[in-house]
Amino acid sequence: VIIKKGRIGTMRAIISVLAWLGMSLTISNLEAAMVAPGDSRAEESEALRSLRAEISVANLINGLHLGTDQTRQILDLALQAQAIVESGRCDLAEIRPEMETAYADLHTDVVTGNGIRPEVRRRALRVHMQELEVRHGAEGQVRALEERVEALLTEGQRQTLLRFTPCLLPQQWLNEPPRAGQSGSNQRTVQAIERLRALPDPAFARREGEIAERHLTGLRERDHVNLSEEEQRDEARRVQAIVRSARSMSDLEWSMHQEEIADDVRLLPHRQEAWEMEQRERYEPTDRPGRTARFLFGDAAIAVLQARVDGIDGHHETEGEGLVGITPADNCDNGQCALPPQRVR
Amino acid sequence: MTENLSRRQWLTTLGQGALALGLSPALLDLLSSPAAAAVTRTGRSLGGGSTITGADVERTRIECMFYDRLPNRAIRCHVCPLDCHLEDGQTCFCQTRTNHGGTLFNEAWANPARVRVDPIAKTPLYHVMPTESAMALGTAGCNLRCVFCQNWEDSQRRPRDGRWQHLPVDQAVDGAVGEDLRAVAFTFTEPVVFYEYALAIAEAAREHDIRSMVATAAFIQTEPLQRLCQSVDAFAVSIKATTDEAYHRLCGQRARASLDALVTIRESGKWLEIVYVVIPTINDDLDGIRRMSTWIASSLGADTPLHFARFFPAHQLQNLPRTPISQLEDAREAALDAGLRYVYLDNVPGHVAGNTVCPHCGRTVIERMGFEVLSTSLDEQGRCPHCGEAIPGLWT
Repeated sequence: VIIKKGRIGTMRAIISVLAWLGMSLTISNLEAAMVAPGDSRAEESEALRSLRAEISVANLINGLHLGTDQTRQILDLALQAQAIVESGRCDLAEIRPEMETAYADLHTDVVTGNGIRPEVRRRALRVHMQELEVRHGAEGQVRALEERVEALLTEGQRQTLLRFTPCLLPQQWLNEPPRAGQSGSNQRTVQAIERLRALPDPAFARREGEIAERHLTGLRERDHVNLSEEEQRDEARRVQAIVRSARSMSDLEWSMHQEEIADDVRLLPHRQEAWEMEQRERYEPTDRPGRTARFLFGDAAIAVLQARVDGIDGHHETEGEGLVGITPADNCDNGQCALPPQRVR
Repeated sequence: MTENLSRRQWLTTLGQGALALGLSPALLDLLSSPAAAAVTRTGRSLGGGSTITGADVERTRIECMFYDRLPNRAIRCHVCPLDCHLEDGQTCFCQTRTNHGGTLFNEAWANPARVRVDPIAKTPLYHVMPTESAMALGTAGCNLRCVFCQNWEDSQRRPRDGRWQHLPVDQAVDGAVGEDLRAVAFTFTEPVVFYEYALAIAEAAREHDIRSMVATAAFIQTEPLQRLCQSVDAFAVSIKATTDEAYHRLCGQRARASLDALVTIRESGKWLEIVYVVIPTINDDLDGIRRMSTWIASSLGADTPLHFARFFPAHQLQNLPRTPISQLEDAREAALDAGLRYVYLDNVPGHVAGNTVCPHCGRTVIERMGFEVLSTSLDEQGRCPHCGEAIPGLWT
């Protein structure tokens, strides 16, 4: 077909093929570079990965608001868990040569399709059982440590742990809790609806479609919710109805119900049941390590917890000299104490 | 004809021009009629729960309590210890009380800047109906100038500035009744500056069996406070610092009046909780905290709950970090050592020190996550279910 098109066509086709080949090679080189062990870029990638992991875990630990004792004890338990995992790795490494031989023989027998020799079956089963024993033993011990961590946490902290999803930038509920005496809502949705309430009718009419679109984009990009086209239309209609209703409210009604209205906007009704089920499943007791181990026993968590403990120790060592890294304000100790030592009631 | 200006004349003219330019907004404000002001703002019509603007304030204001008329239509206000002396047309330091022709009017009347439904625990009152919410409201204005105020956008404005709500007393109470709320909280800004409004709502709410509570710095004179104590059920009073110097530096006033007010509240028999925001390097001195705790225990009683609240950078204190949790824990330890029995950490949701623990048997009786109560095991009289110890508070 190419030749029939003539010289120009042929040249174009050759160039296209060469370009395609070049691109494929470049991509494969890139992939190779990304995964090649020992390569400096691979190390960079690993460094970035651990940086991201530490940021995410630090967000969680900030949101847990761990007390000093909790921080120390969880660090201790995490180090114990790490030692158990390390010991399990060593045990697995010891039986690895035997596993490799046994599984290689089993692989040969299974692939050839002539049946598995009894001796091969026996050896494969034995090493597999050994492997499982090591794994389950370590898992059981880690699970026991995990239970000790869970017992250290308050119910509120356990709920935070269940609700947490790995993140680079912390979600607002994690980073900016409502504070005593705070007047304004710290929910962005409330603030957004407040702005929409202030819009004159023509401006609102012009922007109504855009509002729904932005909401859907937020769901997709921030909350990773994928809706079908029909679901998207329903969702847009639902949110528009809520916003219209919020606009028609008196200031008092809006003031008193703004948090609920914002919750209504955020929570997709048809996803509610699935979400609740997911929460229930997270609460289901299991004999295998779960979220606590995943988030609090890893290298990243140990690094963050260790830094916190060092910070606490540093603070106590420098007590009276101001906090580490903070320029002390004028010394208040020199002022006369405003509080009399004793007062007669 | 042209005339050469000397250097001095030129500079004088320039200075006068700049002054005129600088004053022009204020002049315009003074010269503009209320009607003109109403046109420039985008409020809805004045009615129940509608928007109020600067022009409407003059129609909704009310005559203040606790002031003296002086010669030449001057006035001295006696609500707070500042004792503002006002000539005709002048407004108090708090921005809410204005002398109009020898009569003092409160412009914050029926004019809240914020109305919300919040847990009572957010006031923060942990020993008052723990699972209930309150209609929480506050107006613009404040008689303090706290550099760390988290609500400075409201507290450092005048009621006549901005776009507020028109909420007469009866509608405020009806709103609370309609929402099935059992409490009204005067909070966010300083209730002393909307004293008459708060008092009227508290009195009207009482007729509907709705309790009222006040979050305040208690920078108030004794007589108005005693009058307020007759109508209000609970107080959350914030102590800003443990030294006069730090107190003045943080909020521009002196501590003495607030300390006297605390004793007055205690003597009135009303429920009292104390809040202390621990600000790194400014009021976090442990010796001071020990002295304060000892004073609270001896003068107000060991059962007075004390809240150490975590500081978050706000307003003019953006250069300081959040209070480290370990520092809050140290403060709590110091307060417990001083003999206080209920010492909490606020703004650290999930922390164990947010829970109420029976001081007799050491069991947790109210478990909280922030201001949300996760579980409570106290009976209606506030007794510990494990040992029967009576935990003080207003539980029902």
